[in-house]
Amino acid sequence: MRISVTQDACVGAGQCALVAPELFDQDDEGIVIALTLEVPEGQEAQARKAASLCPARAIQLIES
Amino acid sequence: MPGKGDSADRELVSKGVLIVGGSVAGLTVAETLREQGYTGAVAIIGSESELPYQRPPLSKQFLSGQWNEERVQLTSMKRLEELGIAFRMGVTAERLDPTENKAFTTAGTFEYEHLVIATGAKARTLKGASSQVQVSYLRQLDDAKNLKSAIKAESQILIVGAGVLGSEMAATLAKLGHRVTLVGNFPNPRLGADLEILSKAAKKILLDLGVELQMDCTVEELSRTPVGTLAVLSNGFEVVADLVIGAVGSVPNVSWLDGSGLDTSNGVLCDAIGRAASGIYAVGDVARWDNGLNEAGRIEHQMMAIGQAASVGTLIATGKSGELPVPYFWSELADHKALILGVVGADSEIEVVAGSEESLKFLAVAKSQGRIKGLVGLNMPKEFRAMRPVVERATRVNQGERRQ
Repeated sequence: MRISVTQDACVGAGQCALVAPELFDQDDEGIVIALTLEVPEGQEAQARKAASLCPARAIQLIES
Repeated sequence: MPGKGDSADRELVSKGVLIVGGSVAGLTVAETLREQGYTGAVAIIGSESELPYQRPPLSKQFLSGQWNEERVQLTSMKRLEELGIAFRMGVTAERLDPTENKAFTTAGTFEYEHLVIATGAKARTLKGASSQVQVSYLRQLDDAKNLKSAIKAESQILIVGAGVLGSEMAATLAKLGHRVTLVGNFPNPRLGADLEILSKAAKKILLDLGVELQMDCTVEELSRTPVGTLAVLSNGFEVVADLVIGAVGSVPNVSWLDGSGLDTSNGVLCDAIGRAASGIYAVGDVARWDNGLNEAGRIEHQMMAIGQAASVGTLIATGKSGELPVPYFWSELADHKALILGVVGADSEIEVVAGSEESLKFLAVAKSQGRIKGLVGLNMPKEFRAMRPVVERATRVNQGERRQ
């Protein structure tokens, strides 16, 4: 599973960094940063949760 | 295309979930059901002729022209098909018979096994506006499109209601170069919570943008003149506006539930995990969860809608509710971003823990009787997140007690 983030869409709510801190962080403005492009095995559930809780739908997951 | 004018998905959901309401709450229930392995039929009916889209950007990024229509879409028909979610747009629910498990709609009768009510809310209309006066409201995508086309260059705009929506629109429109008068019946604008620290910041930001604030007053009269709409305020101030926008709150869309036996006074009353009756749930702006978070129970924040929907989707799919959402919302005034978490209000004791009010950059905890109840941040997102788990834990203790 791969991660793609749309920084322009991010509203900086920080839902992703809270539920999946190993996959996402925020810059000083609160904007999403993907810490990895490939979701490590076993972390798919956190990735999905982060994507579905994002109020701006700024996180896309591409199933491989 | 799923459910295009046939009865297939009507019959299907008799062994599945019917979601009434095609906005973010309804969509999130459907997506969560699939995520949690639910294999029954899932159908969403939405009254608008749109796929699910985001509402928060309508008063900001969409109104300012930064984002187009495509950008506010939450999903695509292709994605819904992949998930096995039937989506029918332009269909309005008209009546519910919970004893027969039937919802009557403009597209026929749907039988269901589980029903999720996610019909949202509509804009409250301004009192006393004569029928000759045109008042605009912003709630849906088509409202936003109409508003954008109604605004001519360098207009004089009157916004009635200085809550979060009115304040955001005022900031957006002032930044675009319009002359904006914002009227509110309290001393300072309110960014979704009655907190002095935020209201004072909002006032400063709006004044810096050139917004004319007329606070602590109401609109006494609106009348049509050859040069625009004349508004007379209770403080004697008069303004002739090219456009009048009402932003005085919302009313839950519950009229279709009349006669259903459900308690729909100020929203559909649910228990602490979203159950309104056996097999019936409500989420989002239309829902009033009895969870001790606030007296009214109806919390109109997008992230509350998403959180409730994820929890109810999990409950239907697995029999156990998901993690319950803690109130959390954000607001943007031009380039300033506020984040508010937890249960906060006029009686909160506010303690600034980083930054300062003067710099329009701060993080503050909200306490009640010495205990942390909430978190308020302006332009400090990273610090806010670092503090967030502490506040969430404190709020969940209260919810947990009500859950049994």
